[in-house]
Order: sequence, then structure tokens, then C-alpha cells
Amino acid sequence: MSIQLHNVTAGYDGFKLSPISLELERGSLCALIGPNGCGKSTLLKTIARVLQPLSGEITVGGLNSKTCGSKALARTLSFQPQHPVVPPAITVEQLVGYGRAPHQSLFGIASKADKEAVQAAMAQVGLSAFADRRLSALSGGQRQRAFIAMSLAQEAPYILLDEPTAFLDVKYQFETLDLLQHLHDLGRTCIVVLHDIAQAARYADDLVIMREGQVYAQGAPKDVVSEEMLHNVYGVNAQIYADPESGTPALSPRVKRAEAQKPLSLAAE
Amino acid sequence: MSSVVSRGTRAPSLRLAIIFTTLVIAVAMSSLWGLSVGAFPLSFQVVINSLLDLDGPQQTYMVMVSRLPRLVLALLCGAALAISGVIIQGIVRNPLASPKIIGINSGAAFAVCLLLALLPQVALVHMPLIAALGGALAAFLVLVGAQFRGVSPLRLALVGVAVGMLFDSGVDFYLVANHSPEQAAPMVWLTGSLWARSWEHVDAVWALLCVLIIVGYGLTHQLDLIGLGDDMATSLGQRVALTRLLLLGIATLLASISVGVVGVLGFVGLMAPHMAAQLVGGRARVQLPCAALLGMLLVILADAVGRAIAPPIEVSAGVLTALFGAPFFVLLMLKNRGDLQQ
Repeated sequence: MSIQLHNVTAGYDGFKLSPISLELERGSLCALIGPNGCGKSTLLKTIARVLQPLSGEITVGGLNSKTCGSKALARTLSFQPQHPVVPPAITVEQLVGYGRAPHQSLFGIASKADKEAVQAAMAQVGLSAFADRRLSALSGGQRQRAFIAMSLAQEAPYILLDEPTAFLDVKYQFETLDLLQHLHDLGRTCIVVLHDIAQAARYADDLVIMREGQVYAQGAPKDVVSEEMLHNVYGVNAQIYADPESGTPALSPRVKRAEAQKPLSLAAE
Repeated sequence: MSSVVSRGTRAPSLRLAIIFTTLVIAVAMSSLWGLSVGAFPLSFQVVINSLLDLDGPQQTYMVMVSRLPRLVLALLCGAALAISGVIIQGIVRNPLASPKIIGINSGAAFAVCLLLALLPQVALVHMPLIAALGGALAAFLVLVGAQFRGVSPLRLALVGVAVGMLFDSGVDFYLVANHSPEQAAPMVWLTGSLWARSWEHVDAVWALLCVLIIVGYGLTHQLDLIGLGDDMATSLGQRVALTRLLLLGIATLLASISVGVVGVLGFVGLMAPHMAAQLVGGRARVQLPCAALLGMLLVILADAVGRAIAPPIEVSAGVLTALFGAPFFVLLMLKNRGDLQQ
């Protein structure tokens, strides 16, 4: 049971994914990385069926994405867009409760199991004390946790997140990534679009590196993050070193002397 | 753990109970007042006795035949407009949206004017059906116009304004072209009035409006999911396009049937949802019934005040709702300035 893509193409006017075949293991924490516009969000949305693929086959945990019902898919896979709409004047508990929709009828009447799942999800992200707080009264990091709790309440084995760390302070970035790590430890499969290569290498056990609508490489961070990859994919000249704590690859740019001195001399004036 | 949970939920539900009870009492009291004011003022005692058929035939006639149907219509149309507003604001995801902005009111008004131009002797009772067709036509045009690249809420609103203006020009043309004394009735109707409404009108619309209101309430959970954005709603298992179409259809019928029976009561569909969101929050399941009560209250009061200002002359309810609504809209815009700039 995993997520499998076979010759999948997708996209909109002006941008298309090249046929992609990919397998994402169940139970992994997988990060999709690549430069801006390389198609990582498009790929994630296509797997989530928020975007219809133009061709190819996708199976998610044994479900054929083309033919399965929307609720069945939603019970298997949860997706968080990059910029979720934050409805005004609803509370954390109400938001997390919406995560139960795929388990409910049209009218969304909460059963005992629904209520328990909501409480458990809020507890897991540490927001139980904020249940009655309105979303508008939360910090960016807390709001992100509330949305992740909503995905948890959905009780789908696969959670897809599109840049959950974007626009967060580094503190909340780490908090969010630690939370994903925690969910991963609990057995959820997380597939995350990330921007920061070192963060992705530090937290993920599987990296999918994309370039120009294609998968450039897939594998363990140690195997796929290299100076050659940085040059080929991002067009940067940087050196790779082992993170002192985890041994995972981290990077630092090789700065040309002349360019480095400019801002320094400006600062001195 | 359980004590924490109950402490967290009891206070808001008590607050909700108080708000809803207050609103129901307010609607009841203003209804009573609405039945008592007018060219022949009646005391509350007489009104209540007449309702119970204990008073003289003249008073009973005035209450039961002249004033009660318009009260019933005020209740129905106030609720219908408010619910339509909640749904439209939810679909468009903009607190400044209303049935009017999607062009529904104008389409409905245009259809009625067209009918009057073609068949001047047509009975007022047929107006709601024709208005519903006009509103549906406007909504259809807006959808077609907005659908070219998938319906975005902003596009829906922009095309809605354009379609609304198109129909408004048709209404204006009708009014200019038919400038005669016998055309006064449609003019009064257009300004939004409950004048001379009878049980015939109630019979024509009550069942349909009640069904639409109930279905609308049944879909509030889906409306809440749409409020999370199309992508999120999709990933929660909703078929977004279909749900939005269904909700838009209900909102269109609610608003245009109201226009057909009482004319254009401006701003009710905007004000009531907003006041409700302030009182009980933005969750449609709670906001919608609260807005419905507020819509009833607004229309009853507008109608009653219009009759109480200078009897026997009646000021159209639509004039009063617009008079209150315009400054309310400006206040809302100032308050939402931050959100709108984003």
C-alpha cells in the first residue's frame, strides 16, 4: 500500500508536468523540493486530485484515484493547500470539526466518534486549551497547527501539505516540522512540499527533487543531495557538509569574494 | 478532561440561547406592533383579540385580511432575503456580497417589468414565478460569464455586477417608456413595498419559500466547507462545483421570489447576514437561522415604520431598508478596509 503514479501528466495553460512515474512508500516522511515553478505544488495537487491529471494512473493506498468517490478518497488522503482560506469568526474546534466531513453525511452532524477524533486531534497538536479561540486570534504558527489538526481529525493515512512552513518565523517552521515528525512517528504518511533543502534533508526520510516539471531524483537525503544536484537543479554553487547533530546533508553557498565585499563596505559607511 | 470540555462549550451555547430567544421575542413584539400601526391604529389588545376572533368584525377584518398577510409576507421574504445573503456571501467568500451583487434582484425585477410591458393586465400573483425565472436567468448568465476559467469568487462578483446593470437598464427603460398614472403600482412594487398584499400572494409563495428555506438550512454544513476554499473543500470530499451550483440555485430562487412578491428590499440580504455574523459567528449552521430572524425583524420594522411615519401615507419598506442600509454598508466597508486590501 503506497502512493503510485504511472506516467502522470498534469498542469494548466503554460505549465505541464512531464510524464511522471513515482512511488511514495506508506509510512514515510517525504519532502518534495525544487526551485520555484518546477511543478512540486502541481504534482502534490494532482496526487490530491484537487487538480485533475491530464493522463496517467494514480493509486492512493490501493484506491484508483480516477474512479473512486470523493469521500472515499478524502478518508484516505488529506491535503492542505499553501494558502488555506481562514474563515473569519470560527473557532479552532469548529475548524478541526470540518476535518470530519468525509466521515459524515451531507448535513455534517457530529457523532460521538467525530467529537472524540476532534478532541484527540487538538490534543495531538497541543491546541486543546485553544478550542474555543477564534482562528483570527491565533498566531501564524498556532493557526498552522489548527489546520494540521483538521487533517488529523480527517483520520486519513496520507497527509499532503503544500509548503506548510512558508511565511512562518523560523521558530514556527521548526515547530511545524517537529509536529510532522511526530505524526510520522505515529505512523502517518506525510508528503510535504518544502523550500529549505537542509530542513527537508533533516526531517524527511525520502526526498523527491524536481526540476522543470520532471522528477530529477528520488531517494534518501544523503544519497540525492549533492553539490552536483544543487548545480544542476538550482543552478547554485554551494558546498555540502554533514549536519553536526544528525549527519544529514546541509549546505552553505560558496560566495565569490567580490560580491561578498559589496554589502560589507556599504555597511561600513 | 470532561469538565474542561463542558466548560468550553456551555458558555457559548448559553450565549446562543439568549441571543436566539431575544430575537424571537423581538420578532414577535415587532409583529404585534406591525399589526397595530397604520391608517387606523389599533391597540395591542384589539390586535390580539382579533387574532383570536374575539373582536368586532371591522377590526378583525383589518387585522386578518389587511394586515396579517403582509406581516406573513414580511416574515417570509425577510427570512428568504437574509438566507439568500448568507449563502451568496458564503459562495463568493466576501462579506460585502449580496443577492444584488450577483445580479439576481435586477434579473427578477427586469422579468416582472417585461411581463407587465407585454401583458399589462397580468395579476400581481403571477409575479413571483416570473421573477424567479428572471433571477434564474441572471444567475445563469453570471455563471456562464464567470465559468470560462473555472468559477472564481471574484469573477462571479464582477460578472454579477455587469449582468445586474444590464437588467437594471432594462427596468429603467420600462419605467421611462411607461410613464402613466396607471403604471404607479409597478413603480411602488419596484421600490420594495408590502402595500396591498393579500392572502392570495401568501398562497402563491409560502410553500415554495418554506421548502427552499429548509433545504438551504440543510446545506449549511456544505456552505461552511466551501468557506474553507475550493481546494480544501475538495480534499474534504466535497464535489465543490456541484454544491456551489445547488447553493447558488437556492439563493437565486429565495431572493428572486421575494423580489417578485415584495419588490426590491435593498440591503436586507447584506445587513442581516452581517449582523448575524457579529452576534453568533461565521458558522453558517448558526449564522443562517440568526440572519433569518434578523431579516424578518428588519422587514417587519421597515414596513411598520413606513406606515407609522405619516398615516395614511405609506413610505415603502424598500425606501427605509435602503435608508438604513446605505450607511451600514459604508460602515462595513470602513471596518473591513484591512481585509479588502489584502
